[in-house]
Amino acid sequence: MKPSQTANTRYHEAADQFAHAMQRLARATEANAERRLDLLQDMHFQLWKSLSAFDCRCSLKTWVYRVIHNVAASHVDRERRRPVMGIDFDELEQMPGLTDLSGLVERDDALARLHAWIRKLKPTDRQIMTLYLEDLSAAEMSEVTGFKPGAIATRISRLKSKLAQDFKEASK
Amino acid sequence: MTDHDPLRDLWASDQEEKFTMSITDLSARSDRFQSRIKRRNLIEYLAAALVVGVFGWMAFIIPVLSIKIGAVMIMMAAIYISWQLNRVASLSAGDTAGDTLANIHRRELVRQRDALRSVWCWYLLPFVPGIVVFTLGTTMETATDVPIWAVITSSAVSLGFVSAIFVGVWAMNAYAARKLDQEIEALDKVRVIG
Repeated sequence: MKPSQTANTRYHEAADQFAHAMQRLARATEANAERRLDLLQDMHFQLWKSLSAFDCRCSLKTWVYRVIHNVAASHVDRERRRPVMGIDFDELEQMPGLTDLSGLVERDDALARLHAWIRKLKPTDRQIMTLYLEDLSAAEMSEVTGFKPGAIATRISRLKSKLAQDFKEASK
Repeated sequence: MTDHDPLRDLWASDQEEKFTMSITDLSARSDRFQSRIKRRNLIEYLAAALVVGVFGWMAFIIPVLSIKIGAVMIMMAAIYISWQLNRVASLSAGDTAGDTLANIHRRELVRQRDALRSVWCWYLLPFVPGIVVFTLGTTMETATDVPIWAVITSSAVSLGFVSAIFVGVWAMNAYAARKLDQEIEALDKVRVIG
């Protein structure tokens, strides 16, 4: 079944508004340029297809993030060849300041390392981290992921700690 | 979580590239997507057809009634399982794109757990009658000049071997289902219910 005219209009609205967020998520999900383009096209395609079922019970923003993150998770599931790095929650350490992170390396390099780090995370951690970076509030993140805000806050704190630690070790 | 974080600045500094997809492009992708699904289904049907073909051929050329019946029963089991696999796949293929990852993940875990738990009745059991008849028929046919106790022992060994494989498969699936139960329980602790 092809989406209706309303869904087409909504798709254009969503694509205009969230095109950059989709690109950022695609970069943090897939390192290979060709497969990344395919993933980005798939995000647009699934979003377009899904908008026929959009019933305004959540905001368009929440819907878009749910769809694109589900597409990204399915993509990773298909590309299981890459090793998955689990987060050791027992290794919760004093969180170092992240203010000096971008000063350590050039911005593009830091960004590439951030993407590479995110790609190694487990799917739910990857989703939470990228939503945090997209500047969504705790309530919005809960609505997108379906996890309790408290659990999300704990997860973010641990992920940031792990990130700081990994970047610190890598720059030694 | 609304405090300023330089990580977010770094994330947002990613350059946006020109990228658009027209409705025509999206429709073309939709057509390709449908073709891929059709191709996948065709491969599954061909696999079932192969089993049916092999046992059908056996039922046709082997002149022993019990082996013929066993081969036909295995053929029917393959058709039944193929239908079951197709039914389960179509049930899980609902449009869930706009649902939360936690809900989708939980549904998938529950689906896998239930399939593993019931594997005995829908995947293994249908083959049992056919295998029993086929094995007994083959053993009796090949052992014409041996005492009856030897035929019974040989049949028991063959069926025992097949049973051991089936029990092993069932035990592995039951273990995997228990692991999935633990995963579902852990997910429910952090998931928004409702």
